[in-house]
Amino acid sequence: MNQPIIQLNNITKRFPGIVANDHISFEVERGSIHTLAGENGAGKSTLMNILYGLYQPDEGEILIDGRPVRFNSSKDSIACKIGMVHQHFMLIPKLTVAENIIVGQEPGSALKVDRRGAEERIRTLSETYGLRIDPARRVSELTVTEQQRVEILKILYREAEILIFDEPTAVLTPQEIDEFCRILLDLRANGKTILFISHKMAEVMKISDRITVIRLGRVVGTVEKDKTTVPELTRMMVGRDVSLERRDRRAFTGQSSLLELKNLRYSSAGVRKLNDISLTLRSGEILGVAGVDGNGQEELVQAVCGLIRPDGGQVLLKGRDITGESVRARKEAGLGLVPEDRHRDGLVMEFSVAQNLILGLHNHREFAKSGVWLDFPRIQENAGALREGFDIRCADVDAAAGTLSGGNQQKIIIAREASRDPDVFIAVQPTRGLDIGAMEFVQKTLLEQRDRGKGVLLFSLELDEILSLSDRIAVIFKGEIVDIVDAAGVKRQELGLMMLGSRAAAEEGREAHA
Amino acid sequence: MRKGAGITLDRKKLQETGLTLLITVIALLAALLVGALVIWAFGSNPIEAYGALWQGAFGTGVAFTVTLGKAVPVMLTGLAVAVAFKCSVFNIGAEGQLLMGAMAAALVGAYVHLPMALHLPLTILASMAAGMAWSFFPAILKRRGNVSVVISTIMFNYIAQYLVQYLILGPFKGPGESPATATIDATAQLPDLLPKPYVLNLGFVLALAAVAGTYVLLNRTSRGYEMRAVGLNASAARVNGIDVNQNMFLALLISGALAGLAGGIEVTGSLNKIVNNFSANYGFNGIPVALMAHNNPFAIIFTALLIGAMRSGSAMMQSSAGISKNMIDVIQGLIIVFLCAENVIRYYVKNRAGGKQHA
Repeated sequence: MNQPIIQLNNITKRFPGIVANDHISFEVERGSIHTLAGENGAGKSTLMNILYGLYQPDEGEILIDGRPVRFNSSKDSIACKIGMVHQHFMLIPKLTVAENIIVGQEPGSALKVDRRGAEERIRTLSETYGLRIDPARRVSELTVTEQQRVEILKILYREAEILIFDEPTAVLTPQEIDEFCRILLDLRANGKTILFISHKMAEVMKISDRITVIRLGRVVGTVEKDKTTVPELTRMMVGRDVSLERRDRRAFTGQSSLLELKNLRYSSAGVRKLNDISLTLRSGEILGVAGVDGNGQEELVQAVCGLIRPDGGQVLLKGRDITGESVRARKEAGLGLVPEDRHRDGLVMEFSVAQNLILGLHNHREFAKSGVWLDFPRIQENAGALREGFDIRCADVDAAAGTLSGGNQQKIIIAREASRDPDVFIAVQPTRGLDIGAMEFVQKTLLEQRDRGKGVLLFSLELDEILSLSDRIAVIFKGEIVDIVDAAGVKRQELGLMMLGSRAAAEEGREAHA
Repeated sequence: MRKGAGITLDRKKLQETGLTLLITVIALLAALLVGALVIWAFGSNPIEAYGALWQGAFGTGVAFTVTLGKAVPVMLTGLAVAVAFKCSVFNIGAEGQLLMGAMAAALVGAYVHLPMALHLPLTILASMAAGMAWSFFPAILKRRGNVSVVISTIMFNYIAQYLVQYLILGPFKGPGESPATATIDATAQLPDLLPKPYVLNLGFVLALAAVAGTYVLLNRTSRGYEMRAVGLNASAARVNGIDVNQNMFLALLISGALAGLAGGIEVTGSLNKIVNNFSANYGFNGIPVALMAHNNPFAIIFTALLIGAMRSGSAMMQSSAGISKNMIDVIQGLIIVFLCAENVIRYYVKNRAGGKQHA
């Protein structure tokens, strides 16, 4: 029984130019939740892909139940009862849950799939582990959390004993993360072994039994959860002390208004998304917009940036009405945007880092002679400077942006937008999915913008981020601004209530501070 | 100073390019192999047939110049398809644009009389303008009404086809019995590059210039940067201030001009007038040419030559091996099928390579 279920001995994997895993060794006990923590690019995903059979190690061995194994593909690892939930789900939206789960190994005869039997088994599994998934529903109808639970069902259906989760919480909201943690604990209670990859300290501390920290491809150490602290883990991960706390709020005194929204209204398909939104962003402040996801934040960003036309109201940039102007005109006028979905809206993955760093600036005289002929030496120079200034870690600025880690991709966007020197910096979930080091860097950049007298409009679902960065906080609920409060005095609980639409809470909160 | 981002090739990119090349060659060989089976099934000797094809395409200097000449129109329509595709626009209308370009060249060549220094450029420009005009309708329909470019360009092929037929049978029917326009003035004819019996005219040089021009546009200008950004990720392009619709509109116009040029060169270079059904599907053949070349302008030179070779060699194959010219269409179709199976081939190539590493 003391035999570890997984033993990794001196696993080494080299890619051209880097050693992704450098003699990694650790053991995982049966029936435990073992966390693999480390910054983006530390080699966590490579290691898990080796364990799952997607990569083959150059050196070292894997022992499952004490027996050496060699995985040439995921088929081999599935045969050893290892299952993996990938960061990006691999489900077919048009099929039902049951169909997604049985695809590739349909039960029944060659002619007739035993759908009913499969559904029954899935239903039982779902109940056993408290996953609450109806196997007959279509995946396209499910929420992100439900889809994740389908992925879990998929590997449970294949009788996995070891479940690997690759940054499963990156796509979840705080409430969903709590729910997810409960599911992991349920799985452990049922005897499953869980390998959990994460760099979010809160959840790591909440559910792990043991934690292995890797940095730059090497194991820094394996610690018992009970014998460690968040600062210690962070230090192990980053290699130095990090603080994301910030309390040096500056009192602003009626600086000029940079961005003014007046009575913005917008409806889509009969649903009112923005209802009479008025906001003023002043120079030298970070205005946080807090709210539960889907309460109009997306539309608000789009309306400010010119991606949608509001039904009514005005957007004023430095006093000038830009309501009818194009995205390009707005950006030229001093708007910078870090979009929420960096893959979809922020980068052209196939373009090089250097090319992405001029996206939207490509026809400026600075990078195109007469606005027409791309000036490659200047583009390279610009890339070199931003790469250094923003610590973008890439083998080469000519490497495709898609080959970089998430944190470094985000740094490309931040660097590009900051290099425009905008007056108004709109950052939407700027640290989502980033590791601590990158997160700290992004937040530092936003604070720098503010300190230089720029205005930052920060959208985030992470209340902690809003609280630690903002000077003022606007709470949005069902397309309306519930209230705008001074961040210095507000309490988490009050904000939480306002995010659920309670204006009363807002009033009370304000009276208490008055 | 480092080299420009556009031309620096690291090892990985080079490997990827090599793999793509290998896949194209495999697809080609597979198509020829299956084609051989078909020829054999019809009771002929495939080796003899392919031998004749090769002889017909490359056997003599003259044959080679014919191959080069046949490559010209598909090189241009291939470019037309590729440039639109780079911007996510599927121009299936190169055929119609080519027909209209040819028509314009035939009219300007025959009815306008000027010294050559003016007449020839004017004729060529007219063909490009007409091709562009023909793509303007689908482009504006897309821009204003979001009409599918695939559908509208296909429809415009038919309109062009019957319009040209009407024009050469009716209002612009030239002298003589056959349905054809009048012969264009000598001042509108492209000069030969080589003395007779070689058959190569300035059109070949124009096509190469178009290749270089397209490459420069796509890779060296801010407009090309925008078009590629739109093609690769329209959403990111839009969010970063690039006008997606405007770029698609422009890409389709450029595409139409290139296809029109193909028609203009056919008329001014070899036909000197429009006869009924003169285009051997040059517009449609631009699609496999672009497909095989992965929309890379320089690769299009070679894929166009391949199609040109098959076109010029097929006559010899028919006369000496007794295999219908149409067999070439079969092989061309097979090439497309195998190219579409690119991912399947890629899978096998990579797996084999991977297997070796572990052995």
